Amino acid sequence: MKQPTILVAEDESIVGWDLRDTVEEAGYAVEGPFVDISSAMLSYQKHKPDLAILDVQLSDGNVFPLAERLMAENIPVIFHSGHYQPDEVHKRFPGSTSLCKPCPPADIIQSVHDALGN
Amino acid sequence: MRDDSDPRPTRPAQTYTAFDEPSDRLGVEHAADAFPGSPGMLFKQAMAQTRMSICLTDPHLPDNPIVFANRAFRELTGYRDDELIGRNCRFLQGPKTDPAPVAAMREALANEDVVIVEMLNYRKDGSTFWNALHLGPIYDETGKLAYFFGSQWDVTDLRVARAEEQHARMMARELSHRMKNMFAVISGIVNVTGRMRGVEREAAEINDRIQALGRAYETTLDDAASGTIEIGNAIHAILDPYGRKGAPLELRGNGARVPFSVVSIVGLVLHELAANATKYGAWASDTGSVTVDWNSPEPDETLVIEWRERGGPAIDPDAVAAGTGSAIVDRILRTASGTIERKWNPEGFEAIVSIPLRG
Ligand SMILES: Cc1cc2nc3c(=O)[nH]c(=O)nc-3n(C[C@H](O)[C@H](O)[C@H](O)COP(=O)(O)O)c2cc1C
Repeated sequence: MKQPTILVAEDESIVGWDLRDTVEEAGYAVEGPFVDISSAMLSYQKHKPDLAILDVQLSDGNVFPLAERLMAENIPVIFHSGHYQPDEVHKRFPGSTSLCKPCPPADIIQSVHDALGN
Repeated sequence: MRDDSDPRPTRPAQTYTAFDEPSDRLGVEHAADAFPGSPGMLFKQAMAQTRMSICLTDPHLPDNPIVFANRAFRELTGYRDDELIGRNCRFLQGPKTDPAPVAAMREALANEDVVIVEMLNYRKDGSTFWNALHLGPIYDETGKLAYFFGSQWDVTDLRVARAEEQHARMMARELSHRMKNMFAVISGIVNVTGRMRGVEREAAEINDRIQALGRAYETTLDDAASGTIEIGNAIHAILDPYGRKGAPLELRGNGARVPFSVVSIVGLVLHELAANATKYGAWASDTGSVTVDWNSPEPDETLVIEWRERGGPAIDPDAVAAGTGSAIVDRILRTASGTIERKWNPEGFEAIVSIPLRG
């Protein structure tokens, strides 16, 4: 079975690095971490991921438009944010998962498993 | 109906300045209104005395001019009576007045509606104020439109306060964002370093503590201005994730307030108690539950937290004591001159934590 690919966008480099390691250790392939929307968008257009973990506020703006495009293609999105309360994000994206920063690695992996349906 | 023998001399048309007597100006000429206590008298006195700015306009005259303005109106705007009687109120508007409320007033007046608008107005000396204006029609006894009344309220200070409050909220939000971010970065450093050195388990343990602290601090932002914080919010935030994972938890403390410096102690101590409950105690079994109670028996003196486990497996105190968690709790409390009393009762583990609130 092919390894699912996860797109990671996070503009705080240490946090992005940690996210990538966390997800890779759990057996997934990672695209990223991307520090801005344009590079995340570029990667997504070249190669559709199976899931995305997105910080809500990236260095060049808000990630919601990218999230909308991903969800339009049925790619599940996990928001990872310190800026927004989970219920605010939830109102806008009822189907999404939201994790509050800082989030324990185990919770991130659990959310990834849940979102991918295993 | 003026008595011809009225000894008062007829006033020349332009000498309104010294008067604050609408009945004269509005031609209230019914004899009954001249008696003290009559509606006309009451109106006169109320108008003269109120600190609320009021003006009346006559819609039957060209361009709906002011026919009466009370003292408060003159004090608010800086104009004398002879400078304002006969003019339409729009002379109070200026270049920075938003056209939207002006249009709203125009429409309300056309429909004889009551309206409240807020807009920038200009005084005679050119200075500006925010005017919360209440406009409405006044009908005569036959139901015909007689006047419009306007009541002006200077809300400049209020708007400043409102803006400051909004600014404070924005700052709190930004601060909260930065704080979460900082905790996320710290966690990241610990995780990444832990992996590089091959000590992931230790890193995870450290991170659990950092995250409990982060949750506790987060709740203190709302109280940032008041110096003390309600510790219950922090306790909820620290323990909520355990509750959410299905661990039965009852929090029943009161609204005790404590100095900010106590938060980190409470955060670390409760985290260790919760971690032990998960590993060895009530939360290690499906039937166990935890109750946490807190109060400040002598306010400003001590904070007491009672941790009570029920229904868990029998605990081996030595196994618990061997973990680093207990050592950290003891050490922190000792530094803060606090105490912890642990009891391994047959019905479950109990801890009474006492933290002094004075430095
Ligand atoms: C009784 C009354 C009081 C008013 N008071 C004020 C006022 O304090 N400040 C102001 O800017 N406009 C006030 N207005 C509104 C203006 O007189 C005018 O109606 C408004 O500017 C809309 O009309 P316009 O578009 O012809 O200017 C008042 C109007 C009435 C009838």
